[in-house]
Amino acid sequence: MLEMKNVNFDYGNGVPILKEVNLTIGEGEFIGLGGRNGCGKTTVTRLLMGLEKPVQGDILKDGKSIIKQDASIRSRFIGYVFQRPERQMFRPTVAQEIAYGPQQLGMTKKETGEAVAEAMEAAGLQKLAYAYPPNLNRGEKQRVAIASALAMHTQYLILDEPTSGQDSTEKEKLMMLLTKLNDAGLTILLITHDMDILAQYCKRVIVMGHQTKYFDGTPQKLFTECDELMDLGLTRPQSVTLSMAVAGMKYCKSMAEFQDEMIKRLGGNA
Amino acid sequence: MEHIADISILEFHHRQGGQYRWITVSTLLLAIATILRLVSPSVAGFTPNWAIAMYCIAIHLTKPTYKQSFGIGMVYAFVGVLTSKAAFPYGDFISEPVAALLCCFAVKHLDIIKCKGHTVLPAFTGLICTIISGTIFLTTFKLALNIPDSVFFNVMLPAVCIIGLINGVTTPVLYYPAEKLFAMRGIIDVKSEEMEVSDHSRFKLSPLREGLISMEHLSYTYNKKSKPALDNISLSIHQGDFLVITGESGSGKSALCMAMSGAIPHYYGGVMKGMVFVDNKATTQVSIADLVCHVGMMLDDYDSQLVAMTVEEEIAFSLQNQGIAPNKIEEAIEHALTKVKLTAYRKREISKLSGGQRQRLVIAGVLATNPDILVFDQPTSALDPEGTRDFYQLLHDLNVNYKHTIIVVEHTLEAVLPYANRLILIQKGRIACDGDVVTTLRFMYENNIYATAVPQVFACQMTLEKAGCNVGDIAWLDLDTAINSLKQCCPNGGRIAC
Repeated sequence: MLEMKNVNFDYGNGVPILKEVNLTIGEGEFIGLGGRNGCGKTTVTRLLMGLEKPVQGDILKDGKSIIKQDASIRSRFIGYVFQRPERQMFRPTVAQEIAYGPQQLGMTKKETGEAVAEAMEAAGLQKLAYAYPPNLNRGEKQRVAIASALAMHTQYLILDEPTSGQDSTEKEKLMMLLTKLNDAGLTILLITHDMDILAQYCKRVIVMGHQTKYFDGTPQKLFTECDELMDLGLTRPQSVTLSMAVAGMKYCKSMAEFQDEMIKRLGGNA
Repeated sequence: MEHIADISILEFHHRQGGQYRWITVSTLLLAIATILRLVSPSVAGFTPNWAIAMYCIAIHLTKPTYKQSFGIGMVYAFVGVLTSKAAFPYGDFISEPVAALLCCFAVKHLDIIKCKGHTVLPAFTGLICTIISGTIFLTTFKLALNIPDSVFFNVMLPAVCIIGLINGVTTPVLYYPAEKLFAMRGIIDVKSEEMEVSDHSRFKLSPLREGLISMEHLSYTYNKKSKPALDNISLSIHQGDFLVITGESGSGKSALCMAMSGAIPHYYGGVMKGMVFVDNKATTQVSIADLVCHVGMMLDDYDSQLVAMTVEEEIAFSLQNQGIAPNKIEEAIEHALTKVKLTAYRKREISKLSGGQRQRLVIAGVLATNPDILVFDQPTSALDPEGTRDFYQLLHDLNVNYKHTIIVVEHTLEAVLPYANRLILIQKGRIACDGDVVTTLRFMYENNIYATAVPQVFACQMTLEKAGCNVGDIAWLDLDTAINSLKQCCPNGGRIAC
């Protein structure tokens, strides 16, 4: 479990970015982190990763403070996929790129080989083992970054806007991969502006607003009960809006679910 | 004036560039030859003559004229003289140009020399050019330094023959990798391509169809490509249209835009077949500068269209280039800024504008020349949802209140479709469907062509219809329509109605 306790943060100029943030990330969770541009979403993940230090407050793992640990130490249990994954790649082939982490952990050649093979298989990268990372498309680069984290056997994976600028097919492919990894026990924290992803894939949503954690709960609660959606820079997914327009319809987290529900009601044959 | 009966077979070729390739390749190889000469080991006192091997390769690769070959020979001679250790190196100035000319002759006329179907020309020229060049060089050497005949005939000439044989091997060994390397880097073409720009001024060309823009059997192939980017496209665009063009990446959407603005075929090289008529004039018969007054264009990389420091300078730029009087420019700037609602920013520096404002400035710059037609290539890819909505409202305003004809290429259809009267789907360079928005969306959904671009809500209605549900006759092009239909067709959540 990762915890942020009373965390305050600013960039040293007195303008507060985060005030009194308290949140916990349990093992095996699939959490979406949303909010307006500049609300502090990325800052939260950078604090967790150790790329920024809180001005006040504490960050704990399984009850023990990790505030003194560097990002390099924390990378043993937290994997981080940047918004531009190419910026974290520097080796000539995909396989070597993924092997970098295990090598730094001091794994033997054999262990590294196994970890890399396993990670590449999990991320569906076998065919690209010898490709040059900068030549890959965005979706592939993202999977390389994910595999790099998997090869280090991290417990937590943080992704910053992994689906922006991708078409719906590629988006779905990535989300299926994350769901699969989550089912296998990996904890996922995902920053996104995409309401459909929050609704469809995340089990819990944290929304940042007014310099702190403004909402923490299920996507259903967020999209049906939260009155400040617009203020928080969010919109309701279309599937939810449509399901709310039909009297007595249950909450539908995706268009597919809404369609099935409607077909049942209107007596069509799916 | 020549009359064209069938416009679909009329071609316009445009290929430019490559005229200095012979210099690039020969100087690059000269540098390599000079280095090799400094480092190469000698076998029993004999080293290959790298310079001759290299200019033979250069002449093989770039097939220069005799004049150019002479030049190559002289440059190699000059560098050879500068770096030579020989007592009298100046014979190079005769020997190298002669050998280069000889090689040029061989490349032009002796390509028939083959061995089991493979050309042996590199080996042949390597051998012959080295022997001829060496003999000339040594003859000048002998005359200048008074070398005895016995040394000349018994030592020097046999040595030349041996080096000739070595070069006969070295030249082809270096030729094939060099050819592969240059072809890979795109420095030489695999098939020889010469500069060519067609001239259509002798033809009498007029459109068969009505419309502001009429494309008639338009096909287009980019240079160095074998598959056409556009394949037999026929399309008319009418006054007042708000037309959206969609299709997968690489389907030819952007090529279609470029053909409207005249960038194809005037700017992009390639082969265009058929014709595009803008305002009844064939685009191959007018310049891009003339077309600008009819078709204004915003590129997907719109920042590259901004050239000035401030907003007003930017708008004035194209007008000044056209030689318009200052007071008229003043008027046009005011008018253009009003249209895009940027009047308050007139004196602002462009670097201080936001992305959306810069986009509107590009539109203002385009509007200043008062074109009837405005073309936008993926305008909203860098905008957030709010910016996208504002942008399309602006286009709607230009369409309805200022009577501009609008053409938009888009991937994300949701925001633009409420304003469009026509949607065209392009697939592999062909028009797969051209109709009103609902017709084309239905076509995309039913035939599963680029179906991922069909707006979610509309796709939902299609799915429900397909399953036999009655969800009303009004197409769900936006969320509000969908909600209203849902409320009407299932007032009690659908349970009692069905």
